[in-house]
This record gives sequence, C-alpha cells and structure tokens, in this order.
Amino acid sequence: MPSAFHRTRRSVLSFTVALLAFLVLADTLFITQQSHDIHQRMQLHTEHEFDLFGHLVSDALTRSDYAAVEQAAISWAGDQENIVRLKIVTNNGFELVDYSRRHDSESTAFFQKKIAYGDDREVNIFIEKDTSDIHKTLTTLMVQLVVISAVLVALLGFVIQRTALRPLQREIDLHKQTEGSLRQSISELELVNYSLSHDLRTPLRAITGYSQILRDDAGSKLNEDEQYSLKRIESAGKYMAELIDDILELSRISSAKLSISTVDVSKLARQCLENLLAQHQTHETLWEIQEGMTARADRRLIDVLLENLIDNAIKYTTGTKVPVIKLGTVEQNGNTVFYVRDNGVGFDMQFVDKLFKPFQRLHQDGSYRGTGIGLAIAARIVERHGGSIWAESHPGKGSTLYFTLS
Amino acid sequence: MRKGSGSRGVLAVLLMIGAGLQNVIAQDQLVLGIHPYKTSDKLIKAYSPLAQYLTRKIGQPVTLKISADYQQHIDAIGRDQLDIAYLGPSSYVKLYDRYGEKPLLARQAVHGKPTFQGKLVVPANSPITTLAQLKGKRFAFGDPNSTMSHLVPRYMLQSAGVTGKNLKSFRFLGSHDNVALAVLAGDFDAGAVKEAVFYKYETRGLRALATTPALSEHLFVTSNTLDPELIKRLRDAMLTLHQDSEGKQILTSIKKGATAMVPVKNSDYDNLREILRSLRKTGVVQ
Repeated sequence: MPSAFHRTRRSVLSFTVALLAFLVLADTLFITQQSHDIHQRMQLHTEHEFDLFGHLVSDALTRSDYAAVEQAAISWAGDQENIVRLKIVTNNGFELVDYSRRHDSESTAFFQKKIAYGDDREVNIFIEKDTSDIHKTLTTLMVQLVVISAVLVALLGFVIQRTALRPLQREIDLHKQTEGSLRQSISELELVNYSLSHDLRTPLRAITGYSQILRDDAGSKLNEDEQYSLKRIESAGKYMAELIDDILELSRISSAKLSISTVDVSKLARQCLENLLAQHQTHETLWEIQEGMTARADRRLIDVLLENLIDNAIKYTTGTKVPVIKLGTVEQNGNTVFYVRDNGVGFDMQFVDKLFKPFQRLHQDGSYRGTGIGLAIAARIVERHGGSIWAESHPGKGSTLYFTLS
Repeated sequence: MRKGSGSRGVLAVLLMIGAGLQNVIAQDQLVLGIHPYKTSDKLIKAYSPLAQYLTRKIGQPVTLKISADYQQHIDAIGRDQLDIAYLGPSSYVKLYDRYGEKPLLARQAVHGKPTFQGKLVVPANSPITTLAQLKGKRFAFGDPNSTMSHLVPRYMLQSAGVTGKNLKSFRFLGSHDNVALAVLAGDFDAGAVKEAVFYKYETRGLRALATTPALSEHLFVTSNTLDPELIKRLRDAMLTLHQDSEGKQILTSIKKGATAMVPVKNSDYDNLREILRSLRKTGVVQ
C-alpha cells in the first residue's frame, strides 16, 4: 500500500514537473512571439516615419536648404520622445545633423535609411530609438505569465493533493490502524492459545496418568473390548500432548526474539539430516548437500527450520525405493533461494495453499506420522526472517520446497 | 538710360516738394526708415529703443517706418521722404550713386570693428589652394544681393579669372548657413560666407581659401532737408550711445554684438564702390 502511495505521489510530482516545463515553454514561446510582433510593429512604424521624414529631408536638400534640414530634424526628433539619437550623414561622411537626447535607457534599437536627393546625391539617416518601453511591457507580461503559471500549478497541485493524495493517505492510515489492531488481536490470541495449551497439559496428564494406573492396576481384569478402549484413550492422549507441544512450539517461534548471526547452513543441514536419518531411517537414503551455504539468520530457528523441512522430506520418501534428498541454492533475481528436494510421494499442486497452514494435512490416511504443524513452523520461521516459502510438486515424483531469508 | 534718369530726377523734385510740405505739416516729427531685412514686427521691436532714445535727446518725436523693399528704401531716403535711414553698405553705395551726397550720422561697430569681412571656403580636406583653381568647380553663393555671400566673393573670383561661365555650376542657396553646409556636405566644391558663419562651421570641417577685403559696416544717413544743427545733435546722440548701459542695450537690440556707433565718411565705402562698379561692368549687378 505505501508503495502505491509513493507511486501515486511520484506520478503527481512528475505530472507537476511536466506541467511546469510545458508552462515555461509556452510562456517563453508567447513572450518571444510578442517581442517579435512588437519589434516588427516598431520596424513598420519607423519605416513609415522614415518615409515621411525622408521626403522632407529630400525636398529640403534638393532645394539646397541644409539649414532647414537641421531645423526639421531637431524639431522632428524633439517631438518623438523615443528617439534618442538622430544623425544625417552625407555621402562624404559629413554629419549634417547629429541630434541626441539625454537618456538613461539600457535598451535601444537602431534604424537606418538612405534618402536620395538632387540629381544623384544621397544621405544616410540613422535613428536610435529608446526601446525601454517595449522592454518594460515585455517584462510586465513575463511577470504576469509567471505569476499566472505559478498560481495554476499551485492550484492544480492543491486540487490533486485534495482529490488524490489525501484520500489515499487516509486509506493507508486506516489500513495501518486495522493492521495494528489485527496484530494486537493476533498476539492476544496467541497468548490465549499458549496459556490454554499450557493449561490443557495438566488435565491431559491426569487422563494419561490415570489410564496408565488403570492399566497397571486393573489391566488383567479387563476384557478385550475394554482393553481396546483404554488403549484408544492412551493413544488419543498422547496425540493431544503432541498437538499441544506443537502449538506451544509454534507460539514460541512466533514470539521468540531473533538473534542474527552468520549461520553455516550446510553444516547445520548435515547434522540435522544425520540425526533424523539415525532416528527414522527405514532403508538406505541418498543425500546431497551443497557446500558453503550460509545465511544471516537466527541459528536456533534455522536449525528448527531445516529439521522440519528435512524431516518432511524423510517422512514422504518412506515409500520410495531409493530415497534421494538434496539441499542447495539457486539464484533468483539476485536473491539466494534455498531448496530441499525429495523424490517422495509429492502432492497435488491444487492443494499447495494448505501446505503451510497449521494442522492441515495433505495425506490424511494416517500413513505418515506427525500433526501437520512442521511446515507451518517452517513457514513462520521464514516469515520471521522476512523471507518467503513456496513449493513445487508432482504427485509421485517428489517435491521441492523453496525458501528465502530476507 | 540718361533720359530715364532725367525724368526720374523731375519726379524726385516733385516728390521732394511733397515731402517738404509734409515736413511743414508735421514739423516736429522725424521718420526713421529701416530696410526690410527682417519682419516688420521684429524690426519695430529692435529699433524702438533707439527711436525713443533719439526722441529724448533731440526733443522731437522720432517714429519708425519699415520700407516695402530695398529699392523703395533707397529711393525714399534719396528723395528725402525719410528723415533718417538705416542702410546696408551696398544700399548706401547705390544711394550715393543715384542721389548724391547725404549727411552721414554714424556707422555701427560690431565687436569693436566698424568693418566686416567674408570668407571663400572649401572643405578642410579639399586639394584647392588658390581661387584660380576654382575654374570648373561647383560654387555656392548665398543671396544674389548679399554683400559677403555673393557680391564681394564674385568680384574676387572675377579678379582671379573665375567667372560664371568657367565655373562648372553655381547656385544661390539663400543663406550663409546653407552655403557652409552645402560645402561641408560635398554638394559644392566651394562657397562664400560671412566671417561669423565661417567660424561657426570651421570646426566641422571648413577651410578659408581667401578672405574678402574689410568692408565698412551698416550706417545711418539723414535727409538733405534736415537742419544741420539737428543733424549734429542726432550724430552726437549716436556717437555717445556706447557710453552708458542704456545705450549698450539699444545697440544690442539693433544688432547682437554691436558695441558702438562710430564716425563715418563717404570714402569708407570706396572699396565696395569699386567692387560694385566692376561687377556692373560684367553684368553681375545692374
């Protein structure tokens, strides 16, 4: 759920950045276009002015009235506030007019036009115009656009925050809360479970103890049916004691504090296998353990994990002619995956969900010993280490149990 | 020509009688005539302080009259229809030629000098160094009637063998400023301007090729019919103008830079007279 939240937040952020980039681009384009338009208008306007003024200059010069040109230029330029400099230069480089106005403008534009007069004479008119107004207009426009864009982004961000992120965050908080109370309930249940199991031992001991006494004291007086009933009481009591032990074990594992160190998995597996084979071997079993397997884990729990998995393998290869058990690792997406493989009876993959649940047995005909807690304990240990466990099997061809530890 | 001038003489006498009658009618009023070298408004404003000053000095009202044109102005004073007249040097020479001697009051001095000069100018980087080299070149004059932007320079060109015919072209551009600018712009190879205009444009790239002779400045003359005693009082009033601040203001009002009115005699205009005579001979002036 948090990753979904982060994903959404990342999308929102990327969207905002993309929008911002788009707005910057759009603003820049708009400003450039405006600037271009304004300059073009100014160019046209200036050309028009040039035409009018040029006629005046040409007429006066054709009349050889140079003084009139001087006067006309100064009064014309004087009337136009944005002209900061006006020069009229004759063909021989003489500056007939050099008008300039004091100004503190930082941006100006230059214009030039050749004006013909007389038979074959011409002068150059140079104009420098103050463009700080244009500059100011563009700056104002830019500021307005930036402000509008910023407001737009902020508004959109706010709306997205309101409509998308906040409800998501609320949902996550709600989930976390539920998860927390669930965990609380589970640990309370486990506690109840533990004390209940613990408390059950006393009456159970009474049942088995007294049926033992009954057998010892009155065994010879009982007929065959009565003997059978007593035996059923004894074996049921024994089974119940096993169940209670398993429940307590599961509970212990769930609440045990982890002490992490580097564990030599190969060595532990070998010891475990040798011990179990010594206890349960019915006929020659072939085994193979990959050398040098290690893990950062709780040694005690890994021992229990291996014991349960190997015991499981030994148990379901009892009917196999030549049992083979293999322990090793494979690399998957950069993670080390441990496996325990056997060539036993296997199971139907449609029941794979039941495999790691406590007291769920896939073979209920009583031909295999145990309470069905082993793989549940294994799963709990893997889970405690932050790993995962899964299985692959083909009925009659054996199973492989995989697990990771982190 | 001779016949014409004779009949004109008769007319002048008749008019003189008329003017005399006018003087009898308005005996105590003197008319000061000014030639129309600016608009009437400007001229009346410029010469009113002088008229008021003279009125006070001689105890007789002096009024201003702006003549219709230069020729009419010369004729009016020539026929003694004006009591006092302000004249340019060329006009004075014409007046003397046609109407003979007139009592002279004073000529003006500008920046202390009672004479003025002109320059024949070329661009500073022009290869031309003598007037004779102007043959085949383009020459800019100011006004055809202007002393310094046409008449005197024209005489100097003729003396150096440069005539209207052997110039490539010549044009009258109206004003001294236009002449200077035309030469600077390279539209003409040379031009003629008064001294002040030459100095105004010298730094922008003008060079003086030649300087004209010093010509006597503008002057005041009187009608022949005026009482010699009155003439003397008028002359004294003029010659003492520069002695107080009021007089200096009157001078400045007439012409910017005028510093005094100084004594004048007919021979002060001999060089101009000679120049004009020479120009008449070649048909440049009538």
